[in-house]
Amino acid sequence: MLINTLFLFLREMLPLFLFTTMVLILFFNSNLGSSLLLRSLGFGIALGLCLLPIIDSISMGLDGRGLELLFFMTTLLQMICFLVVIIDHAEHHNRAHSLIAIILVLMSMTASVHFISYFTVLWQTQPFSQALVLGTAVGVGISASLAILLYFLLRMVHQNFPLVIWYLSGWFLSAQLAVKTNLLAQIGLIDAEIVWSTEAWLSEQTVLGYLFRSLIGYEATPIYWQLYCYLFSIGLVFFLIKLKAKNLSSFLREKKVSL
Amino acid sequence: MMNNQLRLRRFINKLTLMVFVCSAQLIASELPIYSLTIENHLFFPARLDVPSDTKFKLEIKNNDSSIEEFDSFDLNREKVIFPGRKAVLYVGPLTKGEYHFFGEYNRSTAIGTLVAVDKAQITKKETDNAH
Repeated sequence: MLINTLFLFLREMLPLFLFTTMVLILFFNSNLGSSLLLRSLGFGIALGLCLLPIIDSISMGLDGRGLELLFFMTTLLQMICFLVVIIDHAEHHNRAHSLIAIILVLMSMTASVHFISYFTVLWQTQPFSQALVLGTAVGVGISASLAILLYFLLRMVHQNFPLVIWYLSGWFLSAQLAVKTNLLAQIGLIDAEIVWSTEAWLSEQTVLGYLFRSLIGYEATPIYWQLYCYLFSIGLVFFLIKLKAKNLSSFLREKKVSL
Repeated sequence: MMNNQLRLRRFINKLTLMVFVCSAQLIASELPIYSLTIENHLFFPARLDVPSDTKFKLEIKNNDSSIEEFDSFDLNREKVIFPGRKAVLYVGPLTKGEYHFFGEYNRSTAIGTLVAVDKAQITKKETDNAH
């Protein structure tokens, strides 16, 4: 149970830790303070808790497709919010901060729903289970460590190449959207033909596999639609960042992160 | 500059609408259905033959009084199934071979395998069982 809890935590919560790190770098010296960040995360987790009692009804909705559609749509909404941030950021800082807060709320909501559901069910059957608590603690430790390492790495890069963090954040969100595309195959909306299998090289069931899945959307057995979604969304994001490079760079130069 | 921004926003709005429309058009398809049951934190049958190179529906009924999650890295599927509820997953087309799955909440007991075989083998088996 310890390993299972750990892997589930990494699968659900690690992307949230990593994206929070990217947001911290992007908006370090701006008005998006740590309080707004914490409030967004807290609100998202609270929303996840509120969803738990009705998750059964959501799951049965739309002919049993409700939950998958909810998760896909929230991820798509996150992507759309980020695109608007790229377009609008230089002119409307407050709106950009609100959109980033929305992304964090949605991300923490969907991440917490699954893990809290797992945690509470097992806690009911095995209260104060050491394996459950330890697995969660180790998961928090690993995720926090990776996030902190990423933070210092990105701060160093950010000094000399300020646009890299925008590209990385866009890539990250595109990857999350591509991963969630598989849910549409699960409910029969798209075909599920597998393109290749790299399970023998890097299994998704390892810590490294989870890290790559969280960062760049690594799938050992991706389907064609995931590839299409991945390439399209990355292309769109990178194109927009390139288009708005001047505005993004000039804003970042004014708010330069000091080491 | 303003025109470009407006065009981009309109494009994003249209794209979002397209996605919603597509998701609303849920067309029921005539696919073969294969069933699994969860009882006492075990999958029945633990080994299920399914046709290779064919898309099919996998129906999973949870007869337990607790939540279970059907999870499979091989199939790239995960679905939470509430007590007394039935869930349907679309799987395939699968190449011939074995695909393992498990119950996330009872990993030590709830384990099983989907075996993708020739359709003829499944038809023969069903005929033999009927006799």
